[in-house]
Amino acid sequence: MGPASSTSRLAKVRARLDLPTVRRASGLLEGRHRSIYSGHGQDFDEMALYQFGDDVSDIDWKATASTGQPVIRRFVRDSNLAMVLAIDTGRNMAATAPDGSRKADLAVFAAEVICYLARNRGDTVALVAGDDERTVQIPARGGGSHMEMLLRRIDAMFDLESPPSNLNRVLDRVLTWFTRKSLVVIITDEARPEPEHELALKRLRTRHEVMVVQIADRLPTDDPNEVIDDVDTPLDIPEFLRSRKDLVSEAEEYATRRRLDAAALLRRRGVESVTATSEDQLIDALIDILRRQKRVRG
Amino acid sequence: MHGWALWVVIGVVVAMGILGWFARKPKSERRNVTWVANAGYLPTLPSFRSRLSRYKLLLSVVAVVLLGTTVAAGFLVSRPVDRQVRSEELATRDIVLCLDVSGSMLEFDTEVVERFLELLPSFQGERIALSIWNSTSRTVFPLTDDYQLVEEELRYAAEVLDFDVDSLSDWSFDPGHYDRLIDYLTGTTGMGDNESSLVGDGLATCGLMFDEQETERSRSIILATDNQLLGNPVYTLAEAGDLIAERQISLFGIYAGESTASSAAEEKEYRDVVQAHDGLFFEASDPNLVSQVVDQIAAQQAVDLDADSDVVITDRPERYFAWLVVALAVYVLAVWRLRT
Repeated sequence: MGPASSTSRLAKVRARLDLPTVRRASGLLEGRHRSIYSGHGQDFDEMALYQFGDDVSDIDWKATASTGQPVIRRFVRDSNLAMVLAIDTGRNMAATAPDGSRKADLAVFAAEVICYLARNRGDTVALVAGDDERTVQIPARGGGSHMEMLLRRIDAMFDLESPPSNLNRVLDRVLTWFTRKSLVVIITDEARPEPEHELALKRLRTRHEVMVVQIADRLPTDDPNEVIDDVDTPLDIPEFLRSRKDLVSEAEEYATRRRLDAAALLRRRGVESVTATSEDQLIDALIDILRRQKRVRG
Repeated sequence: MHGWALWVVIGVVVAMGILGWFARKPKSERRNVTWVANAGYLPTLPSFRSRLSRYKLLLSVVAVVLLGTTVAAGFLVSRPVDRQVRSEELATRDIVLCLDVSGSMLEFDTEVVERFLELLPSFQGERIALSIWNSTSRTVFPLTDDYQLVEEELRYAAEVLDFDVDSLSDWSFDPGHYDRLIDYLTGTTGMGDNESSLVGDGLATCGLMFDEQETERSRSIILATDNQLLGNPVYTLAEAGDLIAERQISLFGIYAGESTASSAAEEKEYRDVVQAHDGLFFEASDPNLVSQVVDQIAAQQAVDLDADSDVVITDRPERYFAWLVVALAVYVLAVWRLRT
């Protein structure tokens, strides 16, 4: 890829995000970062009047008492705020999304949005991408070219011929590699995290802020006329068995139950999550997840 | 007609099946597959499983039906035929069974009747009559080609005449059967008990049974007797022989006498009379030989009549076509169910 196309990724995202959205998203991400680094001995910057959206625990009660107005302590924003993209690159991620596109495209788009926001803010982004056999680590750095390289790397790893997914390997690698508190964005699919990932998620949660982007799966029963097969389990479904109404409802039921199980697990571990079904929906969902953060500033 | 063709067809179909099995595309090479992830649960869904078992059932139905069509097609290719050896000449035969029903002859009569029962299905246009006689004659049925009647009568005759005369002496006979035999033989002993086997009268009576004298038909009498004459006949055997010869009736004589002091003379007289008129004479000391004798008579008739036997071959594909159509219909239905 030449420089022209390398810039195109983030440019593409910018084209898709209108300015107010970017502002809001950037601001939300900032609030998120603030929540990460507050109370961690950062350089004290100034006292400021409390504004709606500030963390109540930031309030300096002595100063508040002396001035008679709520006052908070504000810290210098760390120039080296760290984000980690933890990406599941198993072959399941190269399968089909609900709208018929590749799940990988949605996953890359999610990574693009996050990189775009991070670059705008001057944050660093590190990458841990992996599956059952591969692991790719790229240390945290800022800047557009780093982001572009990182996104290209991610994009190249998604393939139907890839090894199967192994989210635990990715999570363990993030846990051992990053000792500094970071915002870890896990990009996987809607069936994960499964109960087997709960322990790794729990340990990760003790050190980092974690959010999960789940790329939705196409139901095998969505279109009776298409020949479907599973990337992990060969199904080889005869035509006779496709598109039965009872089968469709049972499959939907199963998928819903699995989504709810994953959501319950994430809620137990205090992890925010977003499920992506299409690119347009993903932008809104990402902004929504950032807003849901407790320490959001306006 | 070509029995081997069935096996050739089955062999070809099986060979093509095997070829197709090895030539089929590996599943992994399928194009246009929409790959989805995390769908491994699909085969565990109850409706999927119940449907899968129905699918397998339908598949086995298709396999069985295909086998059925193969076999039916094989039968058709092997050209099912009815083969009949027919002779138009033989169909113009008039045959009078002229049976002596004196006690000693019952066994032989039974054999003659049974053998004609067996020959009956091959008759087509032949007319047959049955006359039984002892001291007088009784016409059981006249010359007719009503084979249903002939079969009923012959069957009944075979059943009634199959009576063991020896059982009379030790009272071991079946009284019902005996009564029916007596009924059946009524009219054959009209001249009293002191006369029996009036063979000349019997034969002459048989000779008078042929009607349609003006038409060109082959006429023959199959006479079975032991020639143990007792009493005064109107016709002597020789006179009766002359009578039927005059009427251009061929005579087939079956002699079936027990060996007695006078039997040799009786047999010789009988033989001489038959052969004097170019008839054929057979001796059947054993009732089991009678069927062979009857066959020989039939063969001799074929020779006499210079009947070139034609092999008539009739195609009989109807049954297999019906199979094929039904099987194909089931196949189309099953495949249609499989594809929708």
